[in-house]
Amino acid sequence: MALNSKKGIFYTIISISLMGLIIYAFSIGFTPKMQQKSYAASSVVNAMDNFYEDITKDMERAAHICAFRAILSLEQYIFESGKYVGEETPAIEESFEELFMNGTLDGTPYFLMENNTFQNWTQKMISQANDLYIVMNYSIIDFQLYQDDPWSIKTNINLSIDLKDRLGVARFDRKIFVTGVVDIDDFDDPFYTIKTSQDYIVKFRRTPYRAQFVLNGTNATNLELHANGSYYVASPSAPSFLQRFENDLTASDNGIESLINPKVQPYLVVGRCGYSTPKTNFYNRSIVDYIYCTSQNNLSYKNYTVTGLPSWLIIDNRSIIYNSTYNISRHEFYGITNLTIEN
Amino acid sequence: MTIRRKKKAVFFTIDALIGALIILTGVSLISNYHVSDKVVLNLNYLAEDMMIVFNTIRVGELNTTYINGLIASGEITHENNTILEQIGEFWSAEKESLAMNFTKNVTEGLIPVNFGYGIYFDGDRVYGRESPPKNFLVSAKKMMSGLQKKKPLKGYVSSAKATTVVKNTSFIVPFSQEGSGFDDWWWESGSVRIFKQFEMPEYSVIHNATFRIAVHAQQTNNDIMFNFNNGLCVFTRQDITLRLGTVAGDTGHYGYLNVNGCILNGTNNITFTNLENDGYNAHLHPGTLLEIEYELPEVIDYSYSETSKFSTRYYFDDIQSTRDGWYFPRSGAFQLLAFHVPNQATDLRVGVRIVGNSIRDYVQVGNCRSWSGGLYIARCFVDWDGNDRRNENSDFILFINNDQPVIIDGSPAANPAYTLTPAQTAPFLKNGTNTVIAYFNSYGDYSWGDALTRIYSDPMADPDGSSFVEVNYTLPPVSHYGQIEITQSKEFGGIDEVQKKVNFSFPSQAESIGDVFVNIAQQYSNNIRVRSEADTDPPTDTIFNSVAARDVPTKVFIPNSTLAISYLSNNFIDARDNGGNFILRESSVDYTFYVKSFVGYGNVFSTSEEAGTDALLRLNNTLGPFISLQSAEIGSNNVTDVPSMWGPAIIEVRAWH
Repeated sequence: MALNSKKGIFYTIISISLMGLIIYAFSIGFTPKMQQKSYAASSVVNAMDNFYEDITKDMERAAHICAFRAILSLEQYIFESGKYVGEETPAIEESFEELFMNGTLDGTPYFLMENNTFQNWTQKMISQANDLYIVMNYSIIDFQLYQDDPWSIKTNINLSIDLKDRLGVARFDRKIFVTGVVDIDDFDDPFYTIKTSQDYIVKFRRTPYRAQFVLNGTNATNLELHANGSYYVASPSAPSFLQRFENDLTASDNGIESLINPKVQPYLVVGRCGYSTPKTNFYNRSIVDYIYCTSQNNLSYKNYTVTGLPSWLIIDNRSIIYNSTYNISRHEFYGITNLTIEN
Repeated sequence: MTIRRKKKAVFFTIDALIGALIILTGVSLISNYHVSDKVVLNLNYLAEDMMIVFNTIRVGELNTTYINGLIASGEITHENNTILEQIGEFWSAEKESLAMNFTKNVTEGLIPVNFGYGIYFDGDRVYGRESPPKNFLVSAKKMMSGLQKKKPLKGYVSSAKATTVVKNTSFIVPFSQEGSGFDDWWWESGSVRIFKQFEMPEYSVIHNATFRIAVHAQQTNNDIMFNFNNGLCVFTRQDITLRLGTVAGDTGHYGYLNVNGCILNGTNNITFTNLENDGYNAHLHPGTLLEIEYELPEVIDYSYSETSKFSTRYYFDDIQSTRDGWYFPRSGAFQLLAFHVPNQATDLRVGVRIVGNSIRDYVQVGNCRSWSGGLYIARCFVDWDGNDRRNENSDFILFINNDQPVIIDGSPAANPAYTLTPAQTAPFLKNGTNTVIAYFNSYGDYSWGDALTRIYSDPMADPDGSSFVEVNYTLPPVSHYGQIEITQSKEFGGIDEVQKKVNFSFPSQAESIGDVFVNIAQQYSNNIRVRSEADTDPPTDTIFNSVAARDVPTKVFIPNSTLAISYLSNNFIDARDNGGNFILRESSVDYTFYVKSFVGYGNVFSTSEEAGTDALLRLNNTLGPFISLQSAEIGSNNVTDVPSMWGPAIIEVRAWH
């Protein structure tokens, strides 16, 4: 029994010692110094991570702002010079990138881009990083301007970014890939700006009549409203938004077309739209914008008027090919197959 | 046994207490280290989630009465905005209460009541729930470019174009050296009549018209008359404010006439009559010109066009030299006509037609010189080097940019017409100022015509039958689309000097340079040299040198290549008379430039009205002091929803417990 009693004390002492060790280990592991170090490192990494996430998201906004203003600047250039992009400036992609990045077009600064270039944004980000004790460096790996749908332009920016904290605790070296999207709605169509000698501006507006140009198979009033409203419809036989800046009137999968109406017609300038001496009346040819203003004198396809609509509303019947495979006629496209009369 | 058991019980009790104490200590230690972390972690999630939700959900997706009301009332204009963007839009527009109520409406009900939170934009508290008190506080931050207080998130830009303006400009009608009238003998006289026609634009309002007269005539030539528009205004010598020519013996005169009210819109004419010189040649000197300052309403033509082919016909003045007597007085007519060819001109074609009336076919008798080499009579002419040059047998002499004649005709018809085709003139042409000098029955200071010798010209009634130089050339295509042409004039000033200099700058509004001329004014004239260069004093580019007798035009063309358009540049021009005569202080430079009549997009504003007002202000600044805006098209091409790279704003969501 005496032995048992001693065993109890022994076990008690051992358990107290073990607990003491555990308590000591706990208290050692969480001394203020260690906590601070660990917290500081974690904070720096968190801050850098947050900053990285932040600029990635903000870059989309920046790309949108720069792209929007670059397009507006190109329109301003066209309005003021009376020339298409690419005539006396680099091609649209280069001109756009120069504006987007530097705010200049062929070396000329554009007011709209002042403090609104991608470089301005990166400088601001560097300054923000600096406030967080982060050193930021970047380089642009790639830049692209393109359209993959008729109603918006896209800018891809591939950025290599290097972030490191000033204490040398952490460093990120990553790539950011961002797409800036700008809808083309309400921008001016350079096609009309130039061909009317800047006297009649037509803005890109999507037609509210798509698939409803003809009602009940016989009433084509909506087609006339569509033409008179200078609305646009996606058409793979027409030039795209970007192509119109360069007077490239070839077909594009992202093409859009409008119809020339009597409000616009008097402003069209011979030599810029059309092929002969000035006329007060419409040419006897399709009023689809890029066809009407072609410089070609004798077009090989026939022209048609539409039953119930004014005689100026002439529409050709060329093929419109979707994705290089699906083929419909323009009359099918506008739903007027059964309403046309050959001129 | 009882004691032993009691001791055991105490022991186990103490053991149990110690065990419990250890467990409690452990639990308390663990809880001390982990409870606060958990709270902080939750708050972190709360703040981050709020940020994500606010930056993801769009206003149009919030279908509440309050939000729908704001949309209906127009307070919310962009349903596509995220909640954060919408709060930011209110905040940046300084709509604090709207920002607060909107945030409150969106957040209350989402956040449990046992958490406090606040939303801050660049440190400004937009909304916050103060309870419970802040024991633990965390924050989530986000940068947002395009957002800044007092700046529109998406705004309006506007352009403006002038449609009608009134411009202040000037117009110079130059008279070149031309004459002549002889008054050889006291009882017989001869004189010259000079008749010029020119056009003023319709609807011009003339503010100031000054006729500057540089004439070589006898001091007693009191019957000289200046007749404007067939008697509308008639001036005599006494009306002239003479600055030079009052000293006894002076035959060179320089003075002014105020001819306000004498100039009409449309066709005008000026007639000099009874210009005489006792024993000498009465004629005009360089510096005779009509200077008109006027305002002109203009409807801006925005049709785009490019010009590359230029064609100008320069008409001679009609000159009638007469003699009254039969013996000593002789008549003779001469005239210098200047035209210019820009440096870049190609395909230059210049045709000349000179028509004479009543020309005498003088037959030379004998040689110019005697056997001993002396001149027989004064009617054999020597050049500046003393060599034999021409004689009276040269009844028509024509020079083009040279002191060697292009045409000499010793047997003219009574009413001859001389024509030079572009091919015939081509070898004599040059870029810059070209001069054509035609003499009928005269040369230098001598004349030998009969009762009348005339250079015929009537541009208005008989344009093709008149005397003229027609200049055609091609330039690289140039467009002055939407530009307004302005001409300004600057006098040399200072004192009269043999070599005088002026400098001028184009105004900051100048978009491109038009034609620039220096108008040489002299009391007496010999031959001159003109130089021009931008930002170089003295200028070194010689742009004109006289090459023949009387080869001093009133207007000398200054090539654009010697000028700089920047308003910070000084364009220097100097003129020197090589014979030591003075270049008068009234010499001037008249320079034409083009001002843009429209402005593109400017700053981004919250409303289209503000953008339009700004566009109008910028348009007026662009037009400058030369053009008064009468009507403008503003905002016809407004662009809305233009984003700007404001900020970035730092948005902070704070959450506490």
